[in-house]
Amino acid sequence: MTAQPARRRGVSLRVLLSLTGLITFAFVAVVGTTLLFRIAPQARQMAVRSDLVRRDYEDRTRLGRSLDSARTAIGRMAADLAGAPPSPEAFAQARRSLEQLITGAEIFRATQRSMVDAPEAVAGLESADGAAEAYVGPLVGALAALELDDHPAAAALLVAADSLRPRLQLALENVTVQALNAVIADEDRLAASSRSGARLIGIWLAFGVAVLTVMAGILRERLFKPIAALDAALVRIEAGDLQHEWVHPRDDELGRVAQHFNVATTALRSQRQLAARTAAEAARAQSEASYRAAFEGAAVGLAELDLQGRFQLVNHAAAEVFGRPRHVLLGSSVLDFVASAPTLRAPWVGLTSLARSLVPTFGTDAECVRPDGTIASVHVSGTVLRDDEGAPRRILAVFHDVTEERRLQQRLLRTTKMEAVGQLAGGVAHDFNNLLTAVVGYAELLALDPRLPAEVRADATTIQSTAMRGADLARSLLTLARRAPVLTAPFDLSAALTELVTVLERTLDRRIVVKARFTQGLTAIGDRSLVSNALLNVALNARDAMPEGGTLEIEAGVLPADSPLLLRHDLAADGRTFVAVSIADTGPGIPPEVLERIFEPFFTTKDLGRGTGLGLAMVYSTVKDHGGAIDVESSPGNGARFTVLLPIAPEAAAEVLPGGQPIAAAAPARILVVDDEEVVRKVAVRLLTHLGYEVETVEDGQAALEFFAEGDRDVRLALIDANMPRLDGFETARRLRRQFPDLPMVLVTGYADPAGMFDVERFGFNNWLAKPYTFEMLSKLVADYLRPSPTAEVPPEPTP
Amino acid sequence: MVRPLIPFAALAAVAACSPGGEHLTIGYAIPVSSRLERFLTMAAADIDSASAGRLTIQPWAAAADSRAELPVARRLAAAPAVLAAVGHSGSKNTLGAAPIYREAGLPLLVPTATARSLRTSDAPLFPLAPPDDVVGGVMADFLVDSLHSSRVAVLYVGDAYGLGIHDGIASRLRARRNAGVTGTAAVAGFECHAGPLAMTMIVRALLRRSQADALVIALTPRESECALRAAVAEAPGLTIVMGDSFDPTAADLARLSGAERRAAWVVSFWNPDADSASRAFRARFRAAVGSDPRPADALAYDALMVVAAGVREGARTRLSLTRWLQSLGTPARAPYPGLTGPVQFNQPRRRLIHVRRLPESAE
Repeated sequence: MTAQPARRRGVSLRVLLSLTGLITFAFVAVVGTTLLFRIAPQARQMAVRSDLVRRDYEDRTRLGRSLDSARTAIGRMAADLAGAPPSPEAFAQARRSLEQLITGAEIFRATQRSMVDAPEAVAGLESADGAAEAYVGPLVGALAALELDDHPAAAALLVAADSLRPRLQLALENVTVQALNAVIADEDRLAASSRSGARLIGIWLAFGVAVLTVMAGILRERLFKPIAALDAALVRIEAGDLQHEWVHPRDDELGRVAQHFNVATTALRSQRQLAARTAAEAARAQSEASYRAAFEGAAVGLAELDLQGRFQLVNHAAAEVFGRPRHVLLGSSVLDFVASAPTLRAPWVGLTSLARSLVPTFGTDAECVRPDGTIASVHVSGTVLRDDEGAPRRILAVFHDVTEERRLQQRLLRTTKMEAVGQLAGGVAHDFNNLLTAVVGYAELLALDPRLPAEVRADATTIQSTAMRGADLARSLLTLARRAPVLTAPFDLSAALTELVTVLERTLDRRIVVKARFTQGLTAIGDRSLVSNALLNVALNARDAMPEGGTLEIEAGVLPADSPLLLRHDLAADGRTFVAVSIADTGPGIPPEVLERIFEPFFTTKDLGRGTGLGLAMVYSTVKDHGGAIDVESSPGNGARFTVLLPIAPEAAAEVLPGGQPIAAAAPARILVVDDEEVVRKVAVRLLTHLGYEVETVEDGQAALEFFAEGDRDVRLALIDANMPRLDGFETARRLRRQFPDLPMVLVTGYADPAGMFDVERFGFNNWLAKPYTFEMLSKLVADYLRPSPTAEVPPEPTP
Repeated sequence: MVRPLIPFAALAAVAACSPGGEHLTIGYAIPVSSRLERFLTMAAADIDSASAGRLTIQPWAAAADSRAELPVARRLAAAPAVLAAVGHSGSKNTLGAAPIYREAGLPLLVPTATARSLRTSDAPLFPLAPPDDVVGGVMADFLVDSLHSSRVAVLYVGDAYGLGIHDGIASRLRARRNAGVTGTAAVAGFECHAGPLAMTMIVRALLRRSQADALVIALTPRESECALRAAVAEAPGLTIVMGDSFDPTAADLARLSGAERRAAWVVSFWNPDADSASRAFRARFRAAVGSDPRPADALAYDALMVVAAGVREGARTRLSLTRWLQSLGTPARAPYPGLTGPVQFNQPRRRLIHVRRLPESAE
């Protein structure tokens, strides 16, 4: 609003307009009065009087003529009396004529006297009336005298009448003259009035024109221009420009109107602002309500924190993230629900200090501690809420519970790692087993050769058993990668633990004291070698945790059904009985952040070259594959305790399978060995030949097909490697099966997809045999298919 | 002229100082003679009493000249204090002034004018005397019923008065069927101006022509006397009935012979011996004026007192007084009890009409 300029005091417009109106009215009044009351009445009066004079003159002239006619008629009647006297009808006619004159004159007089008010005129009329009546009287008498035949009287009366005729004429003329004089006087008055009226009108006209010209100029400045300005202002206002003001420089009515106008526009402006503010507030309220609804209904945790990090507003999801009801969270700092470790508090501190940060938003992964002690993984993001002035008001924090996601990620990571391990282990195990197959085979051949000294055969046996342990190692790797099946046979766990303790006592640093507490007769279900390797791995980690020595404690025992360990790992529900094997050390303990990742493949805290990161991962996989669980308890400075839970086997089933001897060929038969490893083909030839079979070898599947394509080879059994160049064993078997539906084919592999190993028949195989195989295993398998028995057509169950 | 007006001025002053504070007057629009001045003085006192001091009489201030009647009417109409007027002298002047009163809304009470057109005027005219045709009808009845006449001659002046009397008689006799107008003669009214010859010839011719047993004379007073002499001279036993315009004074009667007085019957609108009020008025009039009141005096007195009664009853404006006068004799208001009889204006006052013999002597 612009400041109004100082306004000049001016004559009130009302006064101005009144003055103009007054002048105009005075002009009109003067002119009108002059015309109406001075000129017009006189003109009308003159016109009336002129008409009267005319009629008066005509009437008098007619009256005079009528009276003269009557006089003449009576005179003629008087003259005729001497000859033929008039008839009574003639007298009656004459009498009626006179009476009509008399009565007509009466009406005539009354009319005239109502119009003439001048005493002189009235006197003249009276005189004329009297003269007429006086003249008529003798005439009426004369007529009566004639009717009475009294001629002298009639003559006398006619003489008397004649003597009065000049008086009547004079009276009539006087009346006319008086009337004309009155008309002339009226004309003079009218002329004088007209002149003075015209003069007056002229003067007033000139004065009025001059005054009205001045007044028009004043009105143009004082009225019309401001009204035009008002019109322009209204146009601006209509166009929505409420800032416009009507500036009127004078303090008159329009000045006050301008004030009211400007006040009104100011009010309109305020109303518009108020309406806009109200609309904005309504929108804000709506937005706030929507925000509240969205806030409250959001699937992710939302919270508004004050600048000190205290919860001011919390939605349901946020309360669930923190595992606490909202009233507990409100007013509390987010730091109250975070572990004390600086590294764990750092993200939350970053959130609470976001308002002081240069970055507008914040996002990181963090962890919070729930009331039950569990750790929730939370993705925390935040942004600063600012007021209208831009000052930070609150922090809007978004809590996304990613615990499950992290777990899945870790699982995926581990799976990915396992996949990598499996790929690696599979490749290594295949080649490794091929090699071990040769080592085991030749070692057994040496051990079985009676020509060699006993020491040599004993060494050969050691070589063979060591090679088999190497095969166990390879199998552990495959197990880790879920690429090898797990045996589910009961075994003597106490014996395995005894062997473990023996090995440890023999190999560990003397500063480490091994204490074992377990009872004999403990059994478990599974793969004894894998379980032994797993326990050994745990023990070696314990050893590594005590480089300066300590106590390594091995305990085992059957767990009661309500053991917290079983409950913690969800193993109490299926009714099985578990044996717990715990291995504890007195080392420095495992930090929580390490403890969480301790079973991840390739995760290691050891120096480069000292650990692969696969040990505990294989332990974890082995235990899980056996349907068990592994529990770790550790705290910094208090060592660590690993407890392996394994399902216990019924005692009856816990038998130790006895070893056996190779089975020689019952009858000569040709066996085809298909393997790309020459050393494997050679050892297979040596073993099968040693058993009494005829052996053919080819280096791969393509060669096998070509072998059979050359003609009937009389092959009774084909031992086919899985992984070969050009054509692998599976495709080879599928093609051979089409040609030789009855040919027994056995898949022999150092590596195979576990998913396919148990479904070898799908590819046409009758059975499979894992590398490295022992002489006994090979002989039994071959014997099963080459035994000359009608039941030979029914293949035995696959025996790994 | 100034001295006689002193009582009126005094009454006006008294009225102006009256408790009511209203100063209303009655304009007296009849030329005032010395006799009338005394009458008005008497009437003014009665009006003052009757109107509780609110009403006075504004007399004719100009010369007693009939030519001034219109200016007088204009003056009265223009004066706001004038509540009503009483006048004028005769039907001609009354009808001439009627437009003035109509424009001013000023009620005019007409004591003596009898023209029929007074009844049909659109001006607020209130005639106290019956119209001429009604008078003529009464005269006809009197001629037939009382005088047993069957052949009637009518001698009349050729103005509204004479024509009214003539028409009333002719109409009434036609209606009765047992008598008729056998001859008429209209005159100008100046037949006796130059001597009795003309009137003598006219009367003689009329009587011979009509063979009438009764003669009605409806002329101006002067011509009436002249015609009466001529008729008595022509037919000594003839029954003669004079119109109301013939209101002879003692001097007039003195000029008549005994035969003439005996032959004549006169129409009058008031009988001074009719009742005690009339007799008392005559006595007061004699005391105040010095002569007997004439019917015109009684009618004028009634006109003045009717206005006073209207003022007394609250009619203080011209319009209200006009309505009050119009209401007299209607179911809403009884007629005013005047000297001449009940005063009302919604119908002719036929009962006022009396036909009497002229007194034998001038006493």
